[in-house]
Amino acid sequence: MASVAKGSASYKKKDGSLLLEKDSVTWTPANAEAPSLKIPVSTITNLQATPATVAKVMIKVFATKEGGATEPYVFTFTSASSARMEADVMKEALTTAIQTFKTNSSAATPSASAGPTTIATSSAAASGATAAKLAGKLTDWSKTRLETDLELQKSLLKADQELSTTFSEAVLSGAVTADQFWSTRTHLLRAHAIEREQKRGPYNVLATIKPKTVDNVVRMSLSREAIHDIFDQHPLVKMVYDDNVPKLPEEEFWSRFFLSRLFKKLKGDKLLPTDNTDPILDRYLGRDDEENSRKRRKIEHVPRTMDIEGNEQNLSQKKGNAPDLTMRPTRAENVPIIKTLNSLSLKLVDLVAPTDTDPNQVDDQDERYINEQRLVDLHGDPEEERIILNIRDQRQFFSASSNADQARKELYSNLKPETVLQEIQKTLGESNLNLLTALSSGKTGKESKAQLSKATTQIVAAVKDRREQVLSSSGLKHKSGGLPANVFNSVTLVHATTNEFLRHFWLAFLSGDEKRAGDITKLVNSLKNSKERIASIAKTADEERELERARRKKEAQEEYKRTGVKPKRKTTEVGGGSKVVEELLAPTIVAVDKALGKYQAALGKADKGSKTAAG
Amino acid sequence: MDTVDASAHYSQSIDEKPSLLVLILDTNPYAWSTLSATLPLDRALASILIFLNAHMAFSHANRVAVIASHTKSARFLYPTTTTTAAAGGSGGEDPFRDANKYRQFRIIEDQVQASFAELMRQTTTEELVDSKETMMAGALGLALGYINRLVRVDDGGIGGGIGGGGGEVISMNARILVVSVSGDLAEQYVPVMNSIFAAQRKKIPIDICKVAGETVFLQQASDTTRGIYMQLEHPESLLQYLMMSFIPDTATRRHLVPPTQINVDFRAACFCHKNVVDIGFVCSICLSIFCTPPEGAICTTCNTKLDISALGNFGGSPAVVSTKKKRTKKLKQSKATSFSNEASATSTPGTPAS
Repeated sequence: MASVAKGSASYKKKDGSLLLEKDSVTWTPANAEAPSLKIPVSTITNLQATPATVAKVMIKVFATKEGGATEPYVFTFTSASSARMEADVMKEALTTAIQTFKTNSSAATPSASAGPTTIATSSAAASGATAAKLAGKLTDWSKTRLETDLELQKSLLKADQELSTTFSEAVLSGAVTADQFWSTRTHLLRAHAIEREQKRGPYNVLATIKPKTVDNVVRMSLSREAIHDIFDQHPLVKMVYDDNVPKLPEEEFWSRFFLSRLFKKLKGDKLLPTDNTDPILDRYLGRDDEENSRKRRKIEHVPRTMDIEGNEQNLSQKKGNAPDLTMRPTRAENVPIIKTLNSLSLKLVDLVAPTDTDPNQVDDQDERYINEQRLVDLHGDPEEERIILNIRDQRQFFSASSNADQARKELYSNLKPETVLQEIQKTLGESNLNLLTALSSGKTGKESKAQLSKATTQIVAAVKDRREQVLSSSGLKHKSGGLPANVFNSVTLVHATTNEFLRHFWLAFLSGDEKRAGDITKLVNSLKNSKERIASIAKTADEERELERARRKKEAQEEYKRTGVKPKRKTTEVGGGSKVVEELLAPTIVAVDKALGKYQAALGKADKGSKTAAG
Repeated sequence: MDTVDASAHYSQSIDEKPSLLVLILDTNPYAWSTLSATLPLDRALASILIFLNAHMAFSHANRVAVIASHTKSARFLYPTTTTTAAAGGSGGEDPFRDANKYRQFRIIEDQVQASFAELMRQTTTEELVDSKETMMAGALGLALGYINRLVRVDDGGIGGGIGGGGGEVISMNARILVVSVSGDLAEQYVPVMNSIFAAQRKKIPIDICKVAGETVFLQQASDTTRGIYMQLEHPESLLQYLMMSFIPDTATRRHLVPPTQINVDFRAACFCHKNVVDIGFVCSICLSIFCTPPEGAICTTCNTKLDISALGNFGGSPAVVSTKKKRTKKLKQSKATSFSNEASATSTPGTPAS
């Protein structure tokens, strides 16, 4: 039992001790002898720990169970004095153990490509991230990695409710396998993975803390992370804290701080004479270490083109020229807000490690800036690099004439060009038309009147149709078509899942790959089920409608009894019902029928083929 | 700079630009001949002229242009070059005819008729024998060119400078109305589509007044440019249709429900056999559509050699039963990458098909 590291830690809220041995992690409850949990190092795929700034010290171990599912185990370190230290030791030891295991086993699967696990505790992680990911940067957005990353898929499902319902319908209770499901959604996975990679930068902490007054007592909630951030951004506060806290209880220090002039000054507020005074904290008001003490980011090399160091010497203010319009000595405590905010912004920028510059490219910077300043439009037009698209005369390949073509040819074939031309020339060649008489040429009288009204009807009908569409698309009309919410939900759900099945069906069906024949059969069954489900939804819709109608009728009758006023017919009319369901899902049903029809046809053909082959 | 000026706020509310109507008249003699029973040409012409007058009557600054889409060429009927205009204007038999008529109306009427007659006089029988279609692509091109010339301001002064630099100072609302009588335009697919996309970019609606025949492309033209499509069920009442459906200009239409017919057929027809396809193959260079990958993997429209190796057996005969014996047969097809399949039919959105 060569234990590498140990620590007292609780698992599932029970106290116990965590022990790392050569090739496994064990956890023993406090009052038991034998370990109740054993995780072999070989199964561990990922490791997470809370950052140093968080009060709770936890380690999360991800291990693959049989069947490929990963399960997280969370251990909270309970030792009052040395929890952090124990956790760090444990983490370090585990990391090396995993690494040695990985280097030893050459068959590293792509899913376990967490790689060398280094602790990414940048200052940025302190602000927003609750857990610094131990895994190295996963910048591999390849299809295979994304489709095998269960963790990522889970988190995407959690984030996207709609996708989650489709997933549970299509995969958990349907014929589509998880692999198939994700294979058509790689773009979603990729977007989600990239989104997760992005970290939140530092922000102005003081501005986010708002003391609330409850029962004349000022209250505020201050997390450990927030305090850490305050110290980071305002070294002055850290100094004040270090100077005073043993003497002053911590709680009192913070409550006084947030009421003090110092707080207002750091935040960039204007100081008022009415503000509270504080004998301890006001002592620090005059200090401007704030400005000087910030950690400046070191810039090794400033490109000459943008180096304004030289300007410093020509600064008019330093030479005694009017620095201030008011010509009055500035009062230190009323620093203009802009100055404070500027210095704060500078600090925030300094806290972020630059990611967009490549240290190796420093030498080229000058060249780059000079290039940027060139006036491009003064140069001549660049030579066009276009690919010439040769469009062939299309008549020749349309000569394989279709039916419509044929019909047109026939329509015109019995017309003689000469007569046609003469006819038209005669019509036009006469003296100028009298518009009114020309209008009544051809048919006149009653018949044309009838035609006019028919034409009007056509136009009005088109306007009506169009209006329906405009109304429904602008949301003025109920989208659900009068269906109750639960029925409408199942309609959208069945639509989504059926589309899912259809998509996979066509992918499999058209792939021409024999290995997928089994999939096709399964998907066809699912499609058939979908049709049944649509029918059952329609039935439920009818039932619901009847119920609603009965309820309204009853209500109307009661109303009538009570008031003696006959209810209007409209109040008892209920929308929805199976007709609306069928209308909504009509395109889906058509699509399913088409898919099933194609499948049957192909099946029949295959049967015939095999028969002839056999015979 | 204009936005800094406070007056921009006021000038925005007064958005009364004059409107330009370019009417494309399909002058295929065969088609008009077949229509003579229901809608004789003189009546149609009279209806169209009245419609143009109505458009002109709305505003003194409104403009109009008429283009003939003839069997072998497309040309302007109004406004015309000076020689024909002079012939049309002075050639009117009776200058005192309709002395009370608004002069603008009379000029348009006379010129359109004169140049139409001239066009027909120039058409020879020989020309008609072997050409039975209409040059819609050319006409659309002329219309777009004319609109571009007229609509973009170039008043020589500061306005011209801005117009030339910034590009888009629009002085008029333009629209195109196609009065179509003949059928298919499939032979002009590429140029027609290019015109449609140009119109869409310039926000010029193309209205279609379909008197006879069937054209999918024109439906798509009106749909992509947000114009009005109207297939006349009763061509006799052409004037009624014109006056009720096509008279509002683009500025007015924003406040109206357009009477456009909504069941537009969006399905594409393949280039090789003109079959309507649900799932097709698209050339990655020129976007030509094929129902099966073209022979030798060379696009028939633009001659591009396509790489179809990654397509595998896609679109081949579907394998529904797994029979190990048939394997060898399936391998003979080796197909395509740059082909993307459009499975449009399978992903219909859940809108009710009303």
